[in-house]
Amino acid sequence: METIEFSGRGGAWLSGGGAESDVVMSSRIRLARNLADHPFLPQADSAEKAAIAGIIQPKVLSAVFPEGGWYLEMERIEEVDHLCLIERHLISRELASGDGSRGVAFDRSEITSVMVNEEDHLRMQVIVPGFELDRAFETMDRVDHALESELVFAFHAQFGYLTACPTNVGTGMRASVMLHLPALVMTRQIEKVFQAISKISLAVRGAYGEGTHASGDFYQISNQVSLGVSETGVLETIKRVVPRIIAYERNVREHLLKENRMALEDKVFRAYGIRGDGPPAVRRPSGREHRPPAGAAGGPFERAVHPDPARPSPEDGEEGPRAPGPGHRPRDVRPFPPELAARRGKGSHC
Amino acid sequence: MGPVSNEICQSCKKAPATIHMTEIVKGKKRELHYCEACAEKAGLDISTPQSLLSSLAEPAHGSGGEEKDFVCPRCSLRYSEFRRRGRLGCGDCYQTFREGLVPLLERIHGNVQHLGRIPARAGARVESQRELTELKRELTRAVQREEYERAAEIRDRIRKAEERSGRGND
Ligand SMILES: [Zn+2]
Ligand SMILES: [Zn+2]
Repeated sequence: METIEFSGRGGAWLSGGGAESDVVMSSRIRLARNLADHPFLPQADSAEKAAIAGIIQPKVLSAVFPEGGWYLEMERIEEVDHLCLIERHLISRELASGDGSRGVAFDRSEITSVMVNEEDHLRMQVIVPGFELDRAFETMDRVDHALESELVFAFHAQFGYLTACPTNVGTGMRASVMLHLPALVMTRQIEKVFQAISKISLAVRGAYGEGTHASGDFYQISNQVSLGVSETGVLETIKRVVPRIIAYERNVREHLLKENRMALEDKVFRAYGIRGDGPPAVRRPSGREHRPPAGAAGGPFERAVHPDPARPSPEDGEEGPRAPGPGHRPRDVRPFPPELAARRGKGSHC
Repeated sequence: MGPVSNEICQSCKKAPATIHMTEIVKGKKRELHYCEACAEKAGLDISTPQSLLSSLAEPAHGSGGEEKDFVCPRCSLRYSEFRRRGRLGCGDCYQTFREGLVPLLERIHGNVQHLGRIPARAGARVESQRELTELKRELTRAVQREEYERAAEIRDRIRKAEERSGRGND
């Protein structure tokens, strides 16, 4: 049986780093494509789904991951492994809960993943740390071109790349950045950002975990429109707006530091916590908290990330020094068989 | 805008809402509160809940009177089904349901003409179609400005472009 190796804590995009990484957690490009000669999934029966997956799977592996990658068939792995893949943002909930032939291809870096038979025949994702949209796009564009030379995608001169949902038609592209904006949230300046952004064709999504403010500090900014805009046009719009938000957040952080150093410390710890590159003592309790929302799925949801309903008191030291819990895994790379069973801790599904 | 607790899921109205999000689309801010099950059910693309999509999609030919239900000849999806689920069944649906789709796309995207990347295969054909659209627009402008010599020039270019893309154009 083939052996899959996951690096300990998640994809390379979780490693921190990248440009402006004090504010921008990650940059992500998603692309939706469908085969021209097959019905979209809502109208595909199980035989059709199997045929589609059968066509796509070998092409993805050879064209997108020539250096070697894995393809996991969702029907053939356990449900708990679905959760593991969701936590690593390799698949969406929709793919996990779907039926029929479907799967995901990815490689060791977990930067690029390709979902097969999710809402569209192909849902591709590139996610990189920091504010690196161009880099993410270049990678995605290579993937797209590589696949296009092997497969014929549904395309219409007026409507562009055709997708099952009309909200994705055109470029089929969703570009997004995940921002960590504790200072703007704390000072309620975030509303101004909302107002400014809502005037352009971008969407902001934030999320609040129950009973805690922390998860409300994350905001995803993405393009709202995919038809009538070029890919580079979309990137330019985001690249014009985000630096202003970064500057704003830094400004307020600086101000807060002067005003009220102590209150900020907690937040700063959180910021380090999520990036996993903070002071060694600062560690997330388990693999699943505080991650930006699922990528491939494009889930605008940030899940309510705190399992305990009550906000942890500072003494709990949620982000403070902490012994490795049952869910803790070291950073190193170690192999695991697809069954994954041996590596499952209590706090995490993988 | 803090955390909201004791909130009930707005979908099932039973379970406590554990997923809260603020969504801003085209200047309109909405707060959404779902329980986990309903959030999953709502699908990940909560930016366009089905109810919103179907309320946006117009009944085809529905200028009063009864709606006509189109069926896609290729995938047999009904237009009424599309309105309910918000998902198309195949590439041909875009053509079949075009009349209802165009206003929907206009509202979602504010545009109805693709401007992005073109597959290499379709490239030449699509480019010439784009050129044609552009030339026709220019012709109208020239006529409006009474620049008749220029208009004639553009007209010749349109003819040539049409010949080129001509019959190869399904
Ligand atoms: Zn519910
Ligand atoms: Zn159809």
